Amino acid sequence: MFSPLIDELMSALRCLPGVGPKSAQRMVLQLLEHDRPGAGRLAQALSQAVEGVGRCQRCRTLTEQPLCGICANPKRDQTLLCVVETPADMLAIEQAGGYQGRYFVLLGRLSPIDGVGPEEIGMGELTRLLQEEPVEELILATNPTVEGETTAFYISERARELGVNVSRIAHGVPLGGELEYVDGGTLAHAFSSRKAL
Amino acid sequence: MRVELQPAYVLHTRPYRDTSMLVELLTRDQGRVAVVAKGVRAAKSRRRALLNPFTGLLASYQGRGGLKLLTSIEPDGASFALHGAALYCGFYMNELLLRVLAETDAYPFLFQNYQATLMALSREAPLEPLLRRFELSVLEELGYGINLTTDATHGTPLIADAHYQFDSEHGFTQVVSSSIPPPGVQVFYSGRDLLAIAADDFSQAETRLAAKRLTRAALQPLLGNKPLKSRELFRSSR
Repeated sequence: MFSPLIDELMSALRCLPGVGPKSAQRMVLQLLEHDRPGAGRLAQALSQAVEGVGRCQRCRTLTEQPLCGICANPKRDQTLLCVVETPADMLAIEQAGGYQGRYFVLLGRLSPIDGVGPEEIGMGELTRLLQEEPVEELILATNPTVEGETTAFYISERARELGVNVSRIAHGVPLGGELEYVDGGTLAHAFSSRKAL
Repeated sequence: MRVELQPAYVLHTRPYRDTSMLVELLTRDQGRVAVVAKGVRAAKSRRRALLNPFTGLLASYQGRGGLKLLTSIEPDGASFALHGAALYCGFYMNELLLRVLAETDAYPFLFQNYQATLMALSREAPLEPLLRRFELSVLEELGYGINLTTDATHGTPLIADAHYQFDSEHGFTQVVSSSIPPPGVQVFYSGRDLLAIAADDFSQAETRLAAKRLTRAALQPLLGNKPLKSRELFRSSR
């Protein structure tokens, strides 16, 4: 029904999460009919980002610089290192505020069945970081899934060999939540890791 | 076809579409079943926490083809919190099952065995004998059981002081004493170790080593050329 260029644009937009044929059509018509300058800006920004953005040499998050803003910031505490699974997790911790150390992004988690082993999550790079930098505490902020726990345990073993203190983020009842509606596993975990007041 | 409240464990999950997951289940009565769990990755889903490995589930699903639709899940109470190296073992068991089990063939004792092994793992029992017993039971269940008491060529009982050669299709054959290599070279199995494995006695280190070599050799034809990735975790943890 549409010409080839428009069809191509629509099918290209469908690589985005949550975009089906109908939303793609709406986006294309909006861009071509009502917002040509916006479309130009989008095209330019997209091609620049795809060309320019790579991985931070130190923590492996997304950035166009050799070192990302956090790694390059001399005010960040160099003795704290937080390990997360994805750049989105890192962003979530940054937005929560309060953490002043640095990060390391695994870009995945140990999942042998999917073929993800220690090499694929950058254990070599992490080990080198721990040897070269004055890290005193390694904070494991992998997801509280079985794979995340396995990853945390694996990294903690390696880090202990290198004489680094390891801690794991707490799991428990959400703030403002009600105990009645919390699932059993979380509640059991919250109980077993309770702390003295 | 509808299946209601089938006892099951999650072997593996994979993201599918925006908010769904493809889940491989080990069920009690239908063996390995692949289901699609819709909407479980949405922000408010309560079911996501249940769909983790080593959590006992009652799963209801329906569908005629290979991929079923998961309609509901409930916790079954038999969940096992594995810690540390026991987690590696759990993943190893899951990977092994995914590689060797055909879909929807029922393996009645396998489910019980899997559950019992998880329970022992969660109690921090010694890992190696548990894995060896599990591997032997998987082989048994698939029809590749190893006869650990009889010489397959001569039909005589195994002798503790003799040495034997193993062939995954044939079984054990005694080797003549002149061809026995010096200790340390691991080609043959000593009768003593084999009898200990048959008697479920893993107290000696040599027995455990022999059992490991034996199950590897026996599983090799089932696994093909691609090695199990979970073994990497063990290797580098030593």
